[in-house]
Amino acid sequence: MALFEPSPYEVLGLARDAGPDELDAALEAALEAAAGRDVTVERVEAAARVLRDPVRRLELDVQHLPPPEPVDEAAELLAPLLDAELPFPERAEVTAGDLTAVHRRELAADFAELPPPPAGFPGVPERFQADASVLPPFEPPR
Amino acid sequence: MAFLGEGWGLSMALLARRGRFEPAAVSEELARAAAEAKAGQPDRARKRYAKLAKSLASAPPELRGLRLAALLGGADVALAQSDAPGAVLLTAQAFTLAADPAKELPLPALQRVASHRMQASQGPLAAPLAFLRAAADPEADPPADAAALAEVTGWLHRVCAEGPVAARDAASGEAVAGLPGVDWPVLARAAALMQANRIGDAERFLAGASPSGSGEVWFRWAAVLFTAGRFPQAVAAFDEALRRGVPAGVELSPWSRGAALVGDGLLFRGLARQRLGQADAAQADLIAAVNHNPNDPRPRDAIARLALQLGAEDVAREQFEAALTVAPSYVPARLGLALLHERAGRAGAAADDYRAALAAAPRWRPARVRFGAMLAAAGGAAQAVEVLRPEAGSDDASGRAAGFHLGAALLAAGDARGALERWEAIGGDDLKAHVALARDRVARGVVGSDPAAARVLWQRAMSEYPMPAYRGAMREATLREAALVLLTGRDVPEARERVGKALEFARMLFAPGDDLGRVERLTALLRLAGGDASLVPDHVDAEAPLRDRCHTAAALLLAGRDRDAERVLALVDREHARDAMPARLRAVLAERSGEWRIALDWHLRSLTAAAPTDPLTTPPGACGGCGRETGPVYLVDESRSGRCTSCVRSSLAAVLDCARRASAAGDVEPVFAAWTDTLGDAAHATGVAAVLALLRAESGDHDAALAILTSAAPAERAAVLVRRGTLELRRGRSTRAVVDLREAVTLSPAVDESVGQALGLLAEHEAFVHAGAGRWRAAFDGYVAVLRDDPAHPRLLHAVGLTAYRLAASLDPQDPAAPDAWSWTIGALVAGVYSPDVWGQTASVSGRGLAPGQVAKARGLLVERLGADLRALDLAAGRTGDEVDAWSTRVAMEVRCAEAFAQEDLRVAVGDAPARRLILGPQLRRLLDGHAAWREQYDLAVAPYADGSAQGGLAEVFGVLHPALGAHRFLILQGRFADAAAALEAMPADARTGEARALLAEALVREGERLYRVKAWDEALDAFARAARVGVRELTAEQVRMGADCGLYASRALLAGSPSRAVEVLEQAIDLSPETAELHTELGAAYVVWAKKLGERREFDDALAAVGRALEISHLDESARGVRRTLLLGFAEHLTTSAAPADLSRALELWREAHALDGQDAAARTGLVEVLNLSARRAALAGDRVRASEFMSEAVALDPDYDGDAAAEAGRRLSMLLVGHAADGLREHPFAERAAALGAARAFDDSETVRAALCELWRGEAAARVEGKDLIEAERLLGEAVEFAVDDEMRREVVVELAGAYRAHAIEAAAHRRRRGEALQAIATALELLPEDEDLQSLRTSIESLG
Repeated sequence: MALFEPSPYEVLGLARDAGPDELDAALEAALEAAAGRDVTVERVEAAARVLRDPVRRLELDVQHLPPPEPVDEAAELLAPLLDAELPFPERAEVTAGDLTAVHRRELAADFAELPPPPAGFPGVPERFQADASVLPPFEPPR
Repeated sequence: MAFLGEGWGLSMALLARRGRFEPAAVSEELARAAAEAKAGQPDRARKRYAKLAKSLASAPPELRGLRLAALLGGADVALAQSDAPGAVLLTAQAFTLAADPAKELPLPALQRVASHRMQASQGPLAAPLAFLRAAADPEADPPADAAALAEVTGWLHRVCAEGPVAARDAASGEAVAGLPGVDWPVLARAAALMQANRIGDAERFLAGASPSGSGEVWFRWAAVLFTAGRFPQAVAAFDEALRRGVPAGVELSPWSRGAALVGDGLLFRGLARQRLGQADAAQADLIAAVNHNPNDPRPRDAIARLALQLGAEDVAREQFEAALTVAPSYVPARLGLALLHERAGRAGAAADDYRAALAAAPRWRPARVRFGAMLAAAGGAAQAVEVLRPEAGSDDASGRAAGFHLGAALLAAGDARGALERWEAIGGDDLKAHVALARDRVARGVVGSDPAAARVLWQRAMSEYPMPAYRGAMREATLREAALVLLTGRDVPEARERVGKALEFARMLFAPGDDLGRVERLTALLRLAGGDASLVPDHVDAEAPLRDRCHTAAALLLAGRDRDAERVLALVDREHARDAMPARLRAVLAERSGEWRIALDWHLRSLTAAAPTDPLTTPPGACGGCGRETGPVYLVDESRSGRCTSCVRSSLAAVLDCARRASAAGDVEPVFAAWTDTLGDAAHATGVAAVLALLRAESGDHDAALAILTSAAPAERAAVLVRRGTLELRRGRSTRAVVDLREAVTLSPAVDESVGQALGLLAEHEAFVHAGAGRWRAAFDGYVAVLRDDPAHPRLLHAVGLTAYRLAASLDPQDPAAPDAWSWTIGALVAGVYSPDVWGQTASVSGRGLAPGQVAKARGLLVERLGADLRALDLAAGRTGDEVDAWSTRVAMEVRCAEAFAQEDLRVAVGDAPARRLILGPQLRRLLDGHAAWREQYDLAVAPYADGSAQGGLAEVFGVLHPALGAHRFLILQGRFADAAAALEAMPADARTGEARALLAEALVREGERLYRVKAWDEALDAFARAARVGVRELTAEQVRMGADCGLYASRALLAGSPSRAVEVLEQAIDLSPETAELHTELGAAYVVWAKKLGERREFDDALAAVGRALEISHLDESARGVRRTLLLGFAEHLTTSAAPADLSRALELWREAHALDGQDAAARTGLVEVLNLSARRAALAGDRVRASEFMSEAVALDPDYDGDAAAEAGRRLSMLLVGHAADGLREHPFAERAAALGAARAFDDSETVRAALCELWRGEAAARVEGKDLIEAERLLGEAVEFAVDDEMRREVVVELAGAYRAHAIEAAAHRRRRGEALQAIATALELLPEDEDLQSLRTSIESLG
């Protein structure tokens, strides 16, 4: 059987102190929203039945947790904290790095021309020069 | 065989008589077969030949020829019959049979098998070779057919010249062996070996074959020697080849040189001589070769190469051209011309000739390499790369040459890195200059983007091939590398260290006297980036670059020389006024003087100032502030330059600091908002987002602040949460405050301790929040904790009950926490709903009043709801719900007690809490039992009920609160006495206290009374009896009377159907009420009825006991006595028929008892005599003569018709009793038992009757032994039987039987030679018994005749 879950108030979107007129309006709206969905309609109607029955509604009401009472001492206890500093970050000391700026354009202005490359080609090493090996050897008949 | 005629059988008999063959006869048969063939009888002839061949298969070797003739004869006949396959088959058999087929088989036969072999794809070459060998015989008659000869020869040439190497090797070897003295197999074999690269084998083979060979063979040998590099021997062999020349009249083979022999011989001898350095002789041979065949380009080519070798390039060109004249497509000459062009530096002409040569011989790789080289040399780098790339890479001369020329081509084509890779791969000192050159080219390509890589390249180039150009380039690259690190790696110590070393290196590359200012500036900047401003010059003129002025000012600021710094900053031109760094420096100066607002402005400017960028050189990721190019930059203002996270972090930190000091924090919130938006995810990593959040929190917008702050900034988020929570508390929104405060404590344990204290005060609110979020475990735990401070608070009890209910319903019943949750549900919820305050508060929330009776109904519904859930729980656990520990029982107890408490106004005041109504049940009492303060208050409140002084409803149920017996009391209160009693009786004995026993007695008595009222006599009596047995209380007189009534009524109802139960009931009742006489009378009667019933079931012992009990109660009861006599007789008779000795003894006792009851009772006397006879016989057979005599004497004494000597009569009667027993009772028993019985009988009275019985028994057993061939035992038994015979007739009958036994014995023994004596002895004994018996005499005669 268990306790109501969800509460019929939730099903119909009603406050605990809702009166009959509000209940009717909520029921109509909920049924309209649930039209075509049998299970939901059934749940809406069941919720309405509970809320229309004074005894069952009272039993439902007593299933809701009672709201706690205000605790003034807590507010008084924490009041000084409203004046406490927020934890803004500490600023670091200024360093030489922070004050150093080097830009590519300014550095490039100092670049010098490269010396020209050596002229000419070193030549073909002897081992790669042409010789008679390019001529096919004579092969006696096999 | 008849169809072959009579001679056939005879012939074959002659042929094969006893495995020997007659040659003459065979020859005759052959002749007969030939005649038949000739006479047109091929079938007969063929069969004859076949038979002969078959018969001769096993003939001795000397007759092999005859079988050969038979096979060939058969083949001829088959051929004549156009049976070619048959002919081939027979010929092949003959070929196989022949030792030398070429000589033994006629040419046609050989041709036949050769042709057959030629049609097969594989197999030995013996047949074709044999055919050629036979055909070569000049005396062959008829001579071989020329066409057939050519066909077979050509086929063999193909076999030796074609196909796989292995096949050619095998075929040529077979041909050499099969055709000795013939040239072509030698040439073919040599060619096969050379083609298999078996030069050594070829040389050895030809060395053996050549001496007798022709000029062709010598040429082949010379060629092999030439190939092997053995030029002197080759020259000699060519000499011999030329001397011998081509043999006349020999058909050419594929391996013959024929007409070319002389020209080739001269050419290769000349080449061999050239190799030997005999230039003149070589030239002479080559000229001779030219003269011999002017159209052969090869000798001219050879002459050209010889000239090339000798340096006569003109002659060489002339001869190459001459060769091309006679053979324009002759490639070697074209290559020779290309080579001559290349040597002369005519790269284009060389390339043309190479191209022409390659068109004809595209696979000649050296030519492709040279062609590529010449293309490159002629300026066709791209085409050269295309030609050379496929040739480069292999580790051989051509591959390396191709690689070199490819590198050159690549360099020429602008691919310096490709050239470098090629040349590095080849290596060698002669390539170092080339490699260095390539590195230089590569370095020049990368120095703009990666000066470090360029520097490394030039360093290597310098180490490989030092050049001044490389040194200068390396220095410039080093300086650029240092500059670049200031842009990309200044924050990395390792990078700074590496560049520091590079700068030291660069310093060494300058010549003495060179301007080192650039090195000094870079070094100072590098140190400044690392935090060391000492190298920055502290003087700078107005013409110095902006950055130098800034860095000087920075160094001065860092040194504390603010005035000097300010003076230097004054040198910064107006156009640079908005540069980030001057702005930052001015901000720092303003901070130093405490002008925070001004400092703030400068810092803000520094954040948005335009960078000195250049779209061509400045990468998009460069920071507009510091110039770093190391990471993402963020652009807060599209019109300005971006900033790196380092600049943003430090600048915004300064902005925040200055703003707060200038009390202008609100002014900079938009700045942080903009940067937070710009930074995106980086806003959190840099802390900018956190600052923005704190600024917003400081301005009071905590929600906005918390929307930004995540758990990644725990301290900041916790601080804001505390602020917001505190404000919520102040506004009375405690539940919202609790959420914030709890998160703050969870996030940051360092929050102020007052937050924790406040949460303690707000514990109920926190539990309420948990419940609202469906966290039932946390909610329940929270409410229980709160309840401890005020355990009777109705709202808290109600809340605990509700959250416990939700929690319990969400748990699996097997969960260990479930029972506790259900206990709290019952205890707290029931207490809560019986508290009027709870309903009042509920009504106040809903705004609806409480109508009379409404609360009770609603409470009833809720309790019913709970009860239904608990019943389901019980059922799931296998309980009915009526057990004392069932959940259903517990909730019922709780409700009953709470109702009672609710009727009173008992109060408890625990701790600082106000006094509250005490409403509870046993569950809640148990749960709160450990709460000392509450327990103290509770004990005070309920004291009047505990000591029994109080009255009323609560006093009535107070016992239900008892921890151990409350449930039992509750059951009694509910009238469920039996359940209570059962539960109490189920308690372990050691746990059953006096209080428990008293409660049990009460339950039982109350149950007895209840049952009495409903006339459940038996059950009521049982309850009273059990109550009495508990022994803690006396039953009242009325209860005793009720018990006696129950006994009477119950027994009467039970007597007919269950007299035993009636007896029990009555005895129970008598235990309760021993003075009630009617109960005793009823009990005696019940015993009698029961005894009868037992007797009917032949349960005599129990029946006699029952009737005995009846007689004890009323010994004069005639009915009981009669029943007893009947039972005795019945029982005794039953036992008398039993074979068990114990039963017989018991029967004897019973008979004696029955006889004693009434000595005139004939049935009893007869029964007694019978059992005495049985006892006497049993004792006699057991050998107990004394007891046997005693039993029988007692029996004789009971005989009214005998008045003589009882002892003597007893012996006689015993003897007869045993004889009769042996004859009847032991009829089917073994002989020994019956003999023993008769023996015992004889011991009591050795009368003729007994001996006659013995004789009969012995004769019967002897007859059985005779049948079983146990004749000796039969003879012994009959011998004894003779002694038992009581008269002559009986004795004569026994003697005849004994003689018969001996007769049978004699016959049986006489069958065995060794037992003849035994047989004679037996027949003699038989004749001694019956001397006149003719049959016995005849038998003795027969036995004696056996000897």
